[in-house]
Amino acid sequence: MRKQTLAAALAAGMTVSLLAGCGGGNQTQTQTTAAATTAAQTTAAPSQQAAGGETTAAQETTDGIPVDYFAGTVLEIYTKPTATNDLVTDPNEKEIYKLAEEATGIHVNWTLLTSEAWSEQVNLKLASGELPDAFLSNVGENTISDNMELFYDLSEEGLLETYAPNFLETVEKVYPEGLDSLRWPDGSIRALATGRPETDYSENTWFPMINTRWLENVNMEMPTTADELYEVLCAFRDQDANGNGDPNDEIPFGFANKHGLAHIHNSANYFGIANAKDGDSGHYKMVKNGVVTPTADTEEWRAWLEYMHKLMADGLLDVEGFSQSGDEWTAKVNQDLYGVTYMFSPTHLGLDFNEWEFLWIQGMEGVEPVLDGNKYYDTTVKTGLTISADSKNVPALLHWYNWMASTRQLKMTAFLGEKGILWDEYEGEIYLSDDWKNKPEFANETASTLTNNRGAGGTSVLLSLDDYAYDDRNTHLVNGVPTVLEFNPKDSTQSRSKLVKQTLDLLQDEYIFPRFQDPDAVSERTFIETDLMPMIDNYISTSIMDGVTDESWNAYLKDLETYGYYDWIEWYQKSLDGEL
Amino acid sequence: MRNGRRGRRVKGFVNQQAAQKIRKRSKTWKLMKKNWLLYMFLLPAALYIAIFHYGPMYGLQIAFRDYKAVNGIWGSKWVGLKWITTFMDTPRFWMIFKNTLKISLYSLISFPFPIILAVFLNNVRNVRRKKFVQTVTYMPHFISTVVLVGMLSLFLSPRNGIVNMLAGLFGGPTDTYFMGRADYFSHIYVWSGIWQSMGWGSIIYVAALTGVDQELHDAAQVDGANKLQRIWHIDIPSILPTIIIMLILRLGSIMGVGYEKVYLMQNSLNITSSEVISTYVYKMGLQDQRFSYSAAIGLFNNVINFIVLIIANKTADKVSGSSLW
Amino acid sequence: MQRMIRTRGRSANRIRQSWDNRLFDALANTFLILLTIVTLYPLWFVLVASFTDYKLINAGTLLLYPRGFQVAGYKMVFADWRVWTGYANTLFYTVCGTAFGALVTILAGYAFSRKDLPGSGILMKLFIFTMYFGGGLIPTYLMIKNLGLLDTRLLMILQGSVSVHNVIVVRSFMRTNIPDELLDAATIDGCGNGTFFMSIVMPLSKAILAVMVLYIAVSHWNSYFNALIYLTDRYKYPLQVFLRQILLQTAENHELAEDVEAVMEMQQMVATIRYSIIVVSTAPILCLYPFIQKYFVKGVMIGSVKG
Repeated sequence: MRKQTLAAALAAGMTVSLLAGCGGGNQTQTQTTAAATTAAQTTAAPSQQAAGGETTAAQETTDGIPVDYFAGTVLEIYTKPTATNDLVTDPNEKEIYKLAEEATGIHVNWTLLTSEAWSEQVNLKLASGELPDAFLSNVGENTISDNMELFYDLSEEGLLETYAPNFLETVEKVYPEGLDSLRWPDGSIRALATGRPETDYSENTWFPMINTRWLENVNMEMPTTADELYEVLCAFRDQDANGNGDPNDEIPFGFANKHGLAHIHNSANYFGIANAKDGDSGHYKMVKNGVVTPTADTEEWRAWLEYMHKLMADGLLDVEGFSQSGDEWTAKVNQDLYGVTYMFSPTHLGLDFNEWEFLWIQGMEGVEPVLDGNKYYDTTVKTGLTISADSKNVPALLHWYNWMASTRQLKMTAFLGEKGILWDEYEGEIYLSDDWKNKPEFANETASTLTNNRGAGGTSVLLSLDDYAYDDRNTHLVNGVPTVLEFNPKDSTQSRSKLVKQTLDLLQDEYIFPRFQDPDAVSERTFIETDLMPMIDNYISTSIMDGVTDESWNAYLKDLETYGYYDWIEWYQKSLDGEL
Repeated sequence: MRNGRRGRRVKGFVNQQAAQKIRKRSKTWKLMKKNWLLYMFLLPAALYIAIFHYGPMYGLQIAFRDYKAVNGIWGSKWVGLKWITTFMDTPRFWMIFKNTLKISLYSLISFPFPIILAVFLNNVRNVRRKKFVQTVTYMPHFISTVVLVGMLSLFLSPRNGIVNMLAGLFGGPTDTYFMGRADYFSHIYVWSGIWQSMGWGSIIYVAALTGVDQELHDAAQVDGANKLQRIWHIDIPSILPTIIIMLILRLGSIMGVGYEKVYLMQNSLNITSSEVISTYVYKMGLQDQRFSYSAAIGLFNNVINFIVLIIANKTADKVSGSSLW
Repeated sequence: MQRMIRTRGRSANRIRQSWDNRLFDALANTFLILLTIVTLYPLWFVLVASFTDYKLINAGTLLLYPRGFQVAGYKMVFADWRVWTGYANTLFYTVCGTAFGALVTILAGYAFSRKDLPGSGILMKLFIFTMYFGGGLIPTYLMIKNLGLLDTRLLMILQGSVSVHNVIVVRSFMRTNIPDELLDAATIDGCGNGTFFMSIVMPLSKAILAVMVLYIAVSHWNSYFNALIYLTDRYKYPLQVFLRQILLQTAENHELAEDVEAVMEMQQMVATIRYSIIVVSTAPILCLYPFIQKYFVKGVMIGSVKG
């Protein structure tokens, strides 16, 4: 009996100690939070470094409002890390925000949400009514259009003119339609833009490239027609094109439908079918003379599938192209197994730039090949800053935001971090600088980690193209002096840029300008796409594997109709005409 | 079981009923008083369920509304069954539904494997060997899905995958494109699942087998029963209640084909057999947060699951006497 | 007790095996050996791949030992001090969460296993209902916010510790392994519920307790989604979140890297880091297993009690 009582007591004791354990945990947590807060406060204290030049400049540009007019205001801002991962320094440590606080006297309490669960977190914050003054990062078009009333309407007469004149200036430079580009169908403005437009480098077309060493090894000329390409690929297959002694390991034409844009669909370009980057994937429509034209039901489309099937049947395509992951594709590229494949640039894959050449052929007689993408490509984030409808600090927020965009120097600081590392000035002009590469303290850094840790990249202010010496990408500061860089094939920025310049003329002129749409209309389109796209993709793949017959073609045409292909085309026509 | 002593017979039907009721009630009350500690045992779990599950339960209605954060859950527009009908009207609905069902039903064959493994392990006399096999077979559980699918793609490659190489050794074709064929999808999915979860799943049966009375085995051995007979007549019946409960639970998740592995294994060639409800919902939600639509489809799934669970439970109760409630 | 088992094992071996037993053994052993091979190779592959040059991992060539030996993946993972914070946090959440979860589950499982508990049937049904129907992310978030548990370690410990599935498993185990006669006998001896639970039920339930500890610990160890949603303080992140971040970061830098060498290095990391991460995150939890296995020894007690 005594033993039993002891056991019961033991059980009770266990429970108590357990609970205590959890309570203890809670306490530790509180302490840690306290410690973290103190740390944050210390780092957020205004740095005393001189930023005099910029501050004076700002005073002149804010239309009579003294820079420190809103001093003492505290703003709550939610943002996400500048990179897609969270292992970067928090906003408190970024130069631009320190400068902004110092100049305007406005303090920002940052909450850093995660990139991975950003959209969930934003929606949860919205649902809980726990709204900050602003979200500074892409909230997303659909979230805004679904919850329009939660975001402050900035189209109010005179508001932006008074508090954000510098921002407006940039907007006029960046968008062909000016401030109207930021308007919602009802005329309101619910978000301001951030980021920077780039017309060539960031255009995300992947190029078809051919290995010229392979061409030499099999003694053939650069192909210009579909038939010639076929011959070359056959030679790649039959001979030891990569010269490793094994004539059987070559895969003439490589692609990876599950990786980036190394997509087999790109080969439709040779048959006059291309994709404009207006927010959707696939090659299923084109804008011709102001009309959205279907492409997936044309003779060119069929000719393309038949040609690709011929390649597949004759062992010229990578059989695993439809299923392999990016890793597997990259491994094959690096093992020199591909003669032709799609890439952002050879340098981005760690390849020898001089060995690869842009492969451009005419697939069909009478049909001009077109390259994916259009000449205007918007890389700005049009929903970059959203202010909550019930924020009490709208003018202060706009003022703070505008201050950071009031000079080119500040914009650059916001974008790339403090002056003198990634960028610098020379005789009044701003250049990208290479000098950091020689400084020992940055020995372990790359330009991208520097940007992410010091600047805020696309999640801060809006920049225009002429904010730094843009037109000549190859002019950098070397030892403080603008120097035209010699082309370095190992530099991925330069190689990419060179490739892009070479192919600009092949891009499409016409495209559908991305506008904010009515949410119901967007939802209608999404519903069609979720079924239509996989259906077409499946037809493409099975046709390439097994060939096209009249029977399968007719069944496919019928499917296009059932799956709403023509409604989808019509939707884009309306979008093009600005009717949504 | 609860066969209390029958009381005096009371004349008259109504009286008898009333008296029985009172007796029963007082008996219940007595039992409750006697077992008050057991209620305390239940309390933490009940609180947990109440707070974390029943507290947010009102969110179920999102499935019948057009949820928008600005209106809140209670204030969003009521749309009834709109989302379900929208889903059923999509051109691929039947394909998706059939695929889901097919893969789930096929996955059921994985059910006996952990049991077989556990029984075999139970028979291994050498403790070290037993532990080794057990540890090895349980480890695949920790391999992330991305890596698992990556390995599948490598091992099944038509170029130089180990599976095709082995097939070649036995005179088979060496260039089967396993990952790219719609008719192989469900096999790869299910068998890699068996590989990954067999060891992990066997743990519960290994634990259950520890409760088997060793003396029964000894007695049976004396009677000349061989190992198979002993397994069949002693081990299996002893762990049968566990097996049945696990089976009921398994059947109750019949529509629950998770999205991650299917999504990673999916490609445009096998999509006709690999598009399942969860991947469809995932893709719908990629573009924006469609809380209502995905909630509605989730509910559709779970209603089916729940019905299957109820049927399975009833059947099990009738056949074997073990059931969930 | 162990000695007893051992002697019994020896004497069993001495009994002449009949042919059908030998056939059975042969079949069972073949099955286990095949299974071990089929399982061991991919596991070995993961380990080897984490040390192998990225070019060779995805080349499809049979990997039997690390080739182009490198530790870039591990370096990358351990270069970041946050990984250690993550380890500490995960350990803390796992230990506390498992203790809490296992206790709650065992108590509830036992109570449900009793057939003389009025109202437990209804409660069970209410529990099971939650396996299928729930409010979803938004109301759960609101609930947690109202409880003041947002961004707390307590939430990381509590959430996901109790699962109805586990309670059912425990209940069914106890119904089978603790015969009603035991309770009846104990009751006659004047033994109350508390004493019975501590002195009879617990010793007989070591195996299921071990299973629960394993289940709950592993689910805590692997969970990351709750942390992503409910935590904003990076000092509280568990290991899995950091590991995902490192992977994402490497993948992103791969796209952005400036020159050929950097690109090559990054590619190498992305490809091997996936495997290193499995090794890094699994090794500690694997150590738990031997401790758990100890409790999977045949229970001798029931026999003696029954006898």
